[in-house]
Amino acid sequence: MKLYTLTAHELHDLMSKKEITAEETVLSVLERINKKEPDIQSFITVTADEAIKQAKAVDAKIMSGEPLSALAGIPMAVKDNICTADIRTTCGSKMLSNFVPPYDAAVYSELKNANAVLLGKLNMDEFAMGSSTENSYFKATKNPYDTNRVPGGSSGGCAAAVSCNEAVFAIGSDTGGSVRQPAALCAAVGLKPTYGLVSRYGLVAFASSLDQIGPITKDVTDCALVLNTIAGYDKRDSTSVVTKKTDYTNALTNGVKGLKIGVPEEYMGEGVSQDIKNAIYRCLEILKSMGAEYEECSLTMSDYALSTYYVISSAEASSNLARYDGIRYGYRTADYVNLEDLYVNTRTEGFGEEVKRRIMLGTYVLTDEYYNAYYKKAQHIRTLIKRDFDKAFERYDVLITPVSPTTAWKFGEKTTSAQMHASDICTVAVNVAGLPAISIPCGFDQNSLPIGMQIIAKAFDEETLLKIGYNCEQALCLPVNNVVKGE
Amino acid sequence: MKISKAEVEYIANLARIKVSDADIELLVRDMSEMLEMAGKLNEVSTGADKSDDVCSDDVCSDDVCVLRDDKVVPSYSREQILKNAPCRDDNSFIVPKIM
Repeated sequence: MKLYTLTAHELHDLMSKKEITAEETVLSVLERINKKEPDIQSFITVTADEAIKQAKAVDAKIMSGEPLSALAGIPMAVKDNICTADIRTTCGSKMLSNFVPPYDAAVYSELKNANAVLLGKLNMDEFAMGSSTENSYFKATKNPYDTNRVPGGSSGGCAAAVSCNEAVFAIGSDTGGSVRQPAALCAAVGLKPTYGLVSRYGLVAFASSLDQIGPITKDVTDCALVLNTIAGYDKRDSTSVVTKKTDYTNALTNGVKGLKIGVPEEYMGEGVSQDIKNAIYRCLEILKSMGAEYEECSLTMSDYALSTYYVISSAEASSNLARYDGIRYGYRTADYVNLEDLYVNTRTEGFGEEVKRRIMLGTYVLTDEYYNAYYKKAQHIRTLIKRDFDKAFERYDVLITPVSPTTAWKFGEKTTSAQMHASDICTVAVNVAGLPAISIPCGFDQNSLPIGMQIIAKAFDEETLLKIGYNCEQALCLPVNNVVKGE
Repeated sequence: MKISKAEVEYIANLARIKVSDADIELLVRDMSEMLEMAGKLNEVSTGADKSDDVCSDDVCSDDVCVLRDDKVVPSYSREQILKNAPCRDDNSFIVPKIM
């Protein structure tokens, strides 16, 4: 049995029955990493020795009869913008290439408490700015389905690693689609929780009012299990929300009868490939055959989501990234004679091109002269976008859309910022409105590349997302390809 | 909206980033493209007469931004914090002379 191909819940069952050990499991996944990494390049750092040590500790607990949490002994990895004490956290940037945090991010603490086993840190677009992982300072991660193509981004390392079984699950971050889009492009499940559901403490900030941490998993059941572990109030994140403790696996039941689904026409326009539209309508028909109802609807503010997103996220990034000055941590230039030089040369040498572009756009829209015209305007439109969703949710339980207008594209295919930004068109509005959304695999295009379907729900209704995702997954029974089989 | 070379240089200075002569044309193009996209927002009326109605701070949950008690709690040790400093001595960060 190839342990690395199994899901977290399958591995948990086997460990509970003492049929396998956590150490065997982690060794199987580490061997897989050794085999696939030369091609896929998902990891920035692999923590093999520490992983084996953690697995042995889990085995000792099993032997002593301690109860096993659902994620105990499960080998997983986290995006490299999530702080891990004493383990380098680079954010995909030269600026943080030697940064070793003194503390754990809240999500990693929770996973550690659940005895999940950390395999290492995953590649990403620098400071999570990008949609292809090509902006990483370190390397470009490849799509396991076709290594000439991008895995999506910015959590491209997470999605590629889960997709080719280099990790059982991964934790990413989603500011404008960075969990959902790579999950879609690599045939994984990706969840962007409601803003405030998962603590951002220890997540290197990009755009604080949009950032949210979420799981990338092999199936919907694992997604619910990971969410059970990472969701919850944290006083160290002032935007963390007090919610009642929920067991998200309770949502994994058959039946979607009576659920009302809206399909916003703005997300099914000319820019979306026909194969993707077909796959989504096929899925909608399946849901209809199970008793759900769907109809086309309209989100009239959709056309403005991308512009709103880029103004707000760049403004927040320019402010958040002002802290990188070469003084307290991170990269410092060798070339300076005074303090001003030190700041300017550190930032010029330490940041990549896309990060500098966004800092500059953000600086521009926050200047006295343009603040009202761009930043304030975008904040007003943000409210209108949120109201647009509120209105839709008066009629529908969920909205269903594509995740990405195309499947995975070839490296270097998108040459301008505008082309790259356009690939985020289906995902950004969810962050702008603070809503939860899940991406689930729903088929393949003519080139056998994965297609993802996005389900969006009202704030804190992750259960309905998981329920619909679970039912689609059961009904679709997508063919398992060689990547997933582990060949 | 087209941004000028001079504006790009002005913004780069504010952002403490140096732009080489070779890069400036590219930045003018990219920033102009991004601002043109942002300019689309002007199609939506959110004029002064409406701004009271369209307030900009009610996104997400009503519960967000709860302040915690202002209590002193243990934090990280000086050594832990100084460990990542690019240049330091025993107790402090070292910066170029400023006076």
